Amino acid sequence: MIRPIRVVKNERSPEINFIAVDAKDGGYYLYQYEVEDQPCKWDSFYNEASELLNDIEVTWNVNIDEWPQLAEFFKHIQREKGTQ
Amino acid sequence: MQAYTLANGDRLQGRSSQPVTILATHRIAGNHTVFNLTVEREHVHRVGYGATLVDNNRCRPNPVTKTPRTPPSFKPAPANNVTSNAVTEDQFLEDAIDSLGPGSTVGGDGQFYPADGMRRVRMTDSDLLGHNGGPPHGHFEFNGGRNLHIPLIP
Repeated sequence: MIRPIRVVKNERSPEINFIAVDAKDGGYYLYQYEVEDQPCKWDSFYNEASELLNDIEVTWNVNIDEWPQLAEFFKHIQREKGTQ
Repeated sequence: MQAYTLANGDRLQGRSSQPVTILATHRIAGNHTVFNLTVEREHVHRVGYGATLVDNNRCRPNPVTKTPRTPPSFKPAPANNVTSNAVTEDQFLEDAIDSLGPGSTVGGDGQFYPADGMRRVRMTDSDLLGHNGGPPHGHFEFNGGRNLHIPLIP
């Protein structure tokens, strides 16, 4: 599964240029990168997808409707949950 | 309960009946010499710095109780990150225990909240193993506030 990654800008974290999403450890990670191909600078963790999506929209000013890879990512997760 | 069945989040009875939450367990590979201790009549005794109550047979009620695994409401702040100086894993765990205090709860894999739910100590498998791309680390997070990333010295 390819993690969706997105260019972002946030005044409170000007060093962050990319964010990526992953599902692990019973929740969701939001990785924050200075450089896309380098280890992430920070990671945030959410128990609920709704919390993650809210922060993507509110904190990182990303319209999730305009991030098709993210929608595909969650569809993949739903399919995996359905098969378990 | 056998010692090998203990898991993160299980609670033991510590000093003055205060709960002691297991934050991490480690298996040590290989064959090792161990010693069994039996206390006549009582069958229970206390071990370690936290004076944790253990039971050397099944004559007494099990001192281990499971905590509710319901996450309290907690709001991370993803754009409010700080990195601290690196500490050893043992020091991190000691600080975590001090920070959480009595009545702490387990909110999920590797997530621990104090009784008031206003902070979170996070050390998921991915954090501890460095699978998130960075070095092994743990987190002290404050509700709606800073996410303190603490690198761990092996």
